[in-house]
Amino acid sequence: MIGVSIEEKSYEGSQQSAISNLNLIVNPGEFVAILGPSGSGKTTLLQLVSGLDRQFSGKIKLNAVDGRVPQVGYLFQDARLMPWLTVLDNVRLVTGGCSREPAKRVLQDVGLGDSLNSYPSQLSGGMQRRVALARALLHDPDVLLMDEPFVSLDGPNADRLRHLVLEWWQKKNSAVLFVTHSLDEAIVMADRLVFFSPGPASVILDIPVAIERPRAMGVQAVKVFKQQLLTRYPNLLEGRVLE
Amino acid sequence: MRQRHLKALLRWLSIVGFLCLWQLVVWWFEPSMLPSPPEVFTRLLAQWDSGELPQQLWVTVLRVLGSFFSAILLGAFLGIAMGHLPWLDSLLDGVVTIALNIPALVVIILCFIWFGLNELSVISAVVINKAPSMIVIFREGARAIDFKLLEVARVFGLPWWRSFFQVYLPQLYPYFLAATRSGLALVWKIVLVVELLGCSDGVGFQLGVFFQYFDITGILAYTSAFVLLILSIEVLLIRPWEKSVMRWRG
Repeated sequence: MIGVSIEEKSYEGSQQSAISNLNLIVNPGEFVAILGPSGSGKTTLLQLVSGLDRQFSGKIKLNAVDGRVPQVGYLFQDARLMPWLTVLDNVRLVTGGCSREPAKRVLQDVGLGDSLNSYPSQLSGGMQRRVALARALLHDPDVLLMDEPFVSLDGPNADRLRHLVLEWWQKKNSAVLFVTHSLDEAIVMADRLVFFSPGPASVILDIPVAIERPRAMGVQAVKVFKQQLLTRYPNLLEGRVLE
Repeated sequence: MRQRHLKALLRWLSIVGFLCLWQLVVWWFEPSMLPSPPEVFTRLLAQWDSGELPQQLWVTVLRVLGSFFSAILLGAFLGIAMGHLPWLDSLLDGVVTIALNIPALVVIILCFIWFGLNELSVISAVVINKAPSMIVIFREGARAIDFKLLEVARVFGLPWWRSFFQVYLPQLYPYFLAATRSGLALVWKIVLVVELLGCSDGVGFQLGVFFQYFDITGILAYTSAFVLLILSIEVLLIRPWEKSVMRWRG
């Protein structure tokens, strides 16, 4: 579970707060998508939840289902691979040097079975992001944070990886916070959509996605859901809910 | 592959070319002050057989290694700390700049006067001469550390030793390599001067003796022995290390 109650988060030297009065709960096994205009504090929220940034007032609680300290996985906006490690070793790094087989398998799943011994500098940006995804999935976290993970991928590859993430999530039952700019993608992936106001971020709308799974980009139910949402809140993606 | 062979060939060619040029100069000008390569080589073998050369070489090598490792440890420790702690950098920057600019000879003489003619003086003199430039190299390295990669280690809960050895330290390897290269090359030259001025053994001392007898063949024989040794360290240790550390740069 992720429990977020942030009163105030501001950066040094900035006049405006990045986040103010933001409350959010993500239950175990729940997939929540965060949407909002650029600069609305979505990445800041992930930084706070991940524990990398502790400079804020408020509380953030992470729980694993069985009460142990939860494992956190984070897919950053950039791939953040170690340039001196091969693809395989980059993935194995976060698992305490697990045996090679599981790492190989997850790399094959993301379509990089042929690049196990390549170095990150030899891969395209999209391939590097796939390695980062493999790394996060192999870590098998109780809480997964994703910051626009599919943004620089071509259509088929993005679809494949979305499918892979959903498959893993359904098996593992983790709590997922998923930041994206694409409303379609959010509808396909998430149980709930949470919309942010322009900075300082707060939640302006929190609605469940009542479409049966499996879903896919472009299917009728997704289109209709999106249409209805945007008809009701035409300025939703700019961070306003006035009807 | 072919290009690599070509590179190796060119490297050998330059050395062989240098020796040929040396021989030609001796043949054409018959200078009284320059023995030919074979003469130097014969002398080298003779000195080696007598046991004199290996012994002096060993003494000097111990001094070089001792002062080199002391200098690199001190340089890494202070340089990395200065790179990460701005207040320490401000505090020590002036001293480092001064130390960088004091002539080696002055440090050597002062060490002998202050600490006496002993090994401590030898090592201190070399370390004081060499550490400042190592500090500068490691300070740059620490400043170039990518903390985003360390964030990855933190989020994924890597234990500290894994973060240190697999995420932090590899970012400094190029700087260790640079410090080793420039360090070894300079340290042995300084050690020879120190030995010339204040020791009763070692290659530097022996060179001083040859100088007094105008024994140029002896000087060149000892010099080539040492150059050969440093070259082998470069070829057998440093290059393979560089290759394994820098493989990812392709």
